[in-house]
Amino acid sequence: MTSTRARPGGAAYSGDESPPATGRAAPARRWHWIPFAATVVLVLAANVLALGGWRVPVIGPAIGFWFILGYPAYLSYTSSFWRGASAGERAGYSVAVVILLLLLGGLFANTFLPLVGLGRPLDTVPVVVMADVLDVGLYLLRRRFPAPVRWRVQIASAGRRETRLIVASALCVPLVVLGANRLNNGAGDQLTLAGLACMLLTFALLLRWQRWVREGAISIVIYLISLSALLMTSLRGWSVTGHDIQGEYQVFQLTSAHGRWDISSLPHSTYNACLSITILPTEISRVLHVYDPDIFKLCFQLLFALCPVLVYAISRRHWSKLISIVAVIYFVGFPTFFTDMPYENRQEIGFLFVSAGILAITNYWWTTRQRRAGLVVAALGIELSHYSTMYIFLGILIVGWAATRLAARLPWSRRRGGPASDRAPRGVVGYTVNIGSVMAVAAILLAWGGLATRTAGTALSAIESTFSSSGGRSADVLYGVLHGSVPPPQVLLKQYRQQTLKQNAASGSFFVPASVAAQYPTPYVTLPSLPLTKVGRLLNDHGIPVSTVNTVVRQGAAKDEQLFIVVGFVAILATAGFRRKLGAEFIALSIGSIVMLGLITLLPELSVEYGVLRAFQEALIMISPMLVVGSLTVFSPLGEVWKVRAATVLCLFFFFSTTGLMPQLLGGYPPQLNLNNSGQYYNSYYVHPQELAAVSWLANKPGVLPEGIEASAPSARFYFTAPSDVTGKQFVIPAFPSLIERKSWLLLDYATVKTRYATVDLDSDLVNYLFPIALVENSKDLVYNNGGAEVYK
Amino acid sequence: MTRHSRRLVSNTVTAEVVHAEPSGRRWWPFLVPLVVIGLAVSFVIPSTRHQWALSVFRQPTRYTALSFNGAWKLPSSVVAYQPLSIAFVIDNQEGRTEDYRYVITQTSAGLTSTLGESAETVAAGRSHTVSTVIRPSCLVSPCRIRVSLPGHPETIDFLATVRA
Repeated sequence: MTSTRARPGGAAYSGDESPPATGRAAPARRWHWIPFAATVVLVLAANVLALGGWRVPVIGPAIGFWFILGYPAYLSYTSSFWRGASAGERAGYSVAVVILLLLLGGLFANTFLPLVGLGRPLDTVPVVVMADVLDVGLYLLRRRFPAPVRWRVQIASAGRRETRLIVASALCVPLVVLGANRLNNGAGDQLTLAGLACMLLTFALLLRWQRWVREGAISIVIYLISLSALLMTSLRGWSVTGHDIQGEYQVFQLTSAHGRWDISSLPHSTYNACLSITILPTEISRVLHVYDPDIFKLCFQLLFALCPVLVYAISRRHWSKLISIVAVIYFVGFPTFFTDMPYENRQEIGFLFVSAGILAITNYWWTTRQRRAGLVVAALGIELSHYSTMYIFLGILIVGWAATRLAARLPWSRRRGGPASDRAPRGVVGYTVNIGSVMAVAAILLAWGGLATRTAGTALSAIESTFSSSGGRSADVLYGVLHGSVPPPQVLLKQYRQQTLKQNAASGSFFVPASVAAQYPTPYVTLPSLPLTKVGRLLNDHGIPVSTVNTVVRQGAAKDEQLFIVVGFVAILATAGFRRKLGAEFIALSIGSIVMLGLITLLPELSVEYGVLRAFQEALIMISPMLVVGSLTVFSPLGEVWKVRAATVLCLFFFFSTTGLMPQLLGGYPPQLNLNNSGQYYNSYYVHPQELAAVSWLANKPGVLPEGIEASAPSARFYFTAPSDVTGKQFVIPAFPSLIERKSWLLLDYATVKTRYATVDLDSDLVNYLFPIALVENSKDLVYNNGGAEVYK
Repeated sequence: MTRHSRRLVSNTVTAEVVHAEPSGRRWWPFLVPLVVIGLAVSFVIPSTRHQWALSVFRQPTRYTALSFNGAWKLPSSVVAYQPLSIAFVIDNQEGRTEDYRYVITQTSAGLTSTLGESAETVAAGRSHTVSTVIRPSCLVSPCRIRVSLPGHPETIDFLATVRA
């Protein structure tokens, strides 16, 4: 299929793209039975490897991944369900459908197999059978609704520039993987820097050559660069490294060890309600038989790297290749994407469904009913994956729906006449987001979050405390244009110390006495920045303050991006052509994204509970093209050619800075974990083998459970997650000097042992202080010491 | 936004055309052999081979762990000159067999004295339990009993009150 069809209301799309004029002829198809035979052999091999529990390095996990995710997604991709969709969009729908089927299949097995006497429904045999059923079912469905893709024609017709771009982007992956290994082994940052430089260069070339590159090739390049950006962070550390991922790994191991997901097994953890980090990784691990942290560190990143491809596809609904590529660079270059998302696996899967949902809403090839069905299915995936993402998504839908209703009532809107649907893109009849679809999405939320898992209560209490308290706000809001004020960390630390000393004094003899703890100060400390490099010193010697430049560029990137969004939004509202092109519904949903982002920034409790930066990343899925339009508008006085050049160069410059490349080349900025063995994230989230050894030692000791464990914050690093230890009944609470329990076990982490710098989490911000080790030495016994971790009793 | 810029954005939106590429030289027949030769050379030179090892394989972390046996029931009080049994474990994760010398000391009222010392050889990856009896001579509380491994930074200790 090579036809190019005009898409209603948007750009011309080619479903299966026609090759460029210089393409070479495809070889004739012979031996057509070979793919089928190879598939059967691979499926059998995957079954044998999974059921036998054999670990064949690299090949075994590769076959397993293909069996449970790759092949079903391929079958869906090559079916005719997604007619009219671009390559990236089809890939997005296909992967989202397969993940949803795995979630629902796992939930079904988890619920009903115990009723027939199978106590471990998520063990290897049921999961392999489920994957077989998925493969065979989708194969039969694809036979009935085929839409074959002529891969060989596509590959053979690849142009010179396409090949170069794909090779360059593919090169980024081994560079960052080897670079992460080097850093984990205590070596330097050279390879990761080379990988980042390669990403930047490839994006620059993609922008320059975009006219010669087909949609499919662009999607591949975006995927590979996104994967590189994720892996350079996710692969740091030989075990589970990061913030939320520690809790995620605990619930994954809990499900895996028990062979069953049980919401009541960890009653205080809302993570346990997310099937994306309980049932899904368990299913994958049963088939792949790999070191379990690699399920999150590698497999989930392979899935989430598709999200920027979907962002590109969403942008391409209405905008040019150039604008869409720049939008994706902003999305991938946003620090949350590569520094935090690899540590929030449930949200990664949630974002995939959000992207698929937005694609479904705006899929003008589908009927309104199909689009609504797609939206509801995507919402189901979001809710099962990550309840918080669902709240934001529902908020966007409600605001979007209200905005369309409001717009229809405005006098200027009525003056133009015609029903609301007339203002949708050409050819589209009726809005996707109506009261019915909003109610359906809300019903999913209530059914799963309210009745099945009872996680909705967490959100309700957060909303309640937003309006009832004047609680603290996350310091992330300081990146906002309208951020208001946030107390400095020194003040927060002082307040917290006073508050905990009072709490101690009121608790009798439970803690080391407040009078004793008060004698040991906990002064605020700032972690050292990177030393200036040769280039940095040279610039400094010529009067350019490198530290200030780095800070200004980073702050400028954050504020300029917000400014561009506002300018872009105004430009779109003010320009009739844009309004017609985007349609009222898309504009209304964009308003929904901006309103939700604004609410999270301005309301204190929400900025702490959800995180401003994550909300911005979610909003960018939809509004990143607006950002680009805004930058083009700002640079419009430069003229037609130069405004495009300025906007693209600025975007690449921001990528150069935000990914850490610029600070690393100059020095004088806080170290980033993807490039250094130092800095805030390294101290707080990097798990050292000595720390794991300490946890393992502690897990075997009697009396650990009743007397409790305190650990250097963030304490989630020390959750008991080994299959033999994980029960969900051990509680590891963060230690703070004025709240050290008399009888507890106290685990001090690598950073505290080596540098005495400890961390406390205040309103979701990490604040560093000097740990008063003498307090502990004089109050407790030092019972375990391996030089990198200490345990006191 | 100017009228020109509007037009530019609008035009680029609808101009979804893949342009024909000018023909050019193929680079891979030259580049690929060069890369292969470069990689082969790097595997031969010891220093670059070491860099490959750092980039591909996990390097073991070397450390020694010292811990009390029965850490949850350490004595909270001692009687001067009375025998006291203690047991501790030396875990050798240094990657080679190590000769560990251990010293048990007491510290009370700022004065430190040795209660016992000896040496043990522990094979790589193995741990060894030392059980011994000491006679603390502390007269003033608190009395800190410490086990240390000279040549290694790891120490463990416990505090006890002195009973008459």
